Amino acid sequence: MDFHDSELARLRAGDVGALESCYRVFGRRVRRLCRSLLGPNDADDATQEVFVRVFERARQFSGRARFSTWIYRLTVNHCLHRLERERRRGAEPLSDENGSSWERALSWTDDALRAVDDRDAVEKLLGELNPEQRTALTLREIEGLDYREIADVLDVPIGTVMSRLNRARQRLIELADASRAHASWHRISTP
Amino acid sequence: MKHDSNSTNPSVAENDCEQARALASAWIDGELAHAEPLHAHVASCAPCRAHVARLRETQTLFAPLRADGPDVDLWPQIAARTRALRAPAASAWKPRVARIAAAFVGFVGAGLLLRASSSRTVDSDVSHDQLTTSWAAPLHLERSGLGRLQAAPERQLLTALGLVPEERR
Repeated sequence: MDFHDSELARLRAGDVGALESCYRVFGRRVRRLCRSLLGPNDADDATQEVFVRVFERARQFSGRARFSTWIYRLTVNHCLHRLERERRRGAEPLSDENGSSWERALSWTDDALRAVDDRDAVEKLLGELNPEQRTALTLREIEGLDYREIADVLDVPIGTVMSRLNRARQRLIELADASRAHASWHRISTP
Repeated sequence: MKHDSNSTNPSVAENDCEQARALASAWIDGELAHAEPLHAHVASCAPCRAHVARLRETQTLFAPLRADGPDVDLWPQIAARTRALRAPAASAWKPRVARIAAAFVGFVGAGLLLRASSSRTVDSDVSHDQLTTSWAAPLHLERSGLGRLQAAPERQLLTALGLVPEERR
């Protein structure tokens, strides 16, 4: 399903019907991105806020980038803003009553990365990365954007995308090693 | 898309594992234009080969997240939020117009009052000065016949200066 130029023109003119078309085309992608960046609890609310912003700001879309890139950028900026707001309030992103995210990340597997096939576990692992790394990795691995597109969404040079992705994957490997060590220690220390 | 940038894709020396690992992530994403030097290094370096294999493992992690989650239609909530956004905007035009009109009327009224006041000031310049200026008041009062009663100290001063004739007693 595509979002046509005529619908974009209607959206820019404040047509709510065009916003619904926009949601039908991009809603899943936006929600998936929000979920990856914020966690499952905040994803739906953030998705709604993103589309309200799309409606408010459609007139500002200059057409220099693709509309999908513009929506991704709006989504990423909105999620990062929410994360920053939560950080200032002292709330831990992706946290719940089951202990710290670090503890949960260590407990997601006893058998390294290969064993991970659970959505919740991967989301928790993703939550261990800093927002910049998480965003770059999400756009690459989940949304399937190439480096040029990621650079456009994040408004950074391609070299920055390369280094953020490299550090993100390095961090995932460290977490896997920590998990292995944790599992080994658990086996040794448990009578 | 493959990127040919010397700053991000320098050649990899035979023993430069650090450089190889910095580029390995872009390599497994197929984003390096000239991957032959890195390929050659990895082929001859067991630790870097293991590192690349682990990087590839991280790519497989995200398959569960690529699939869409439970299908949830958020449009009703978005539509409600959008309506709430538009409602105040639509109903706000009347008070806004009223405020603008009131400001316009006030501005015009103030301008008219200022103009009228300005006219009166010009017309009454002499009498106003005569009544309020300390040195002119006695002269005016003298002419009006009130100076004797109301401006005796000033009259004495003016008499001393020779500005008014000495009063006959």
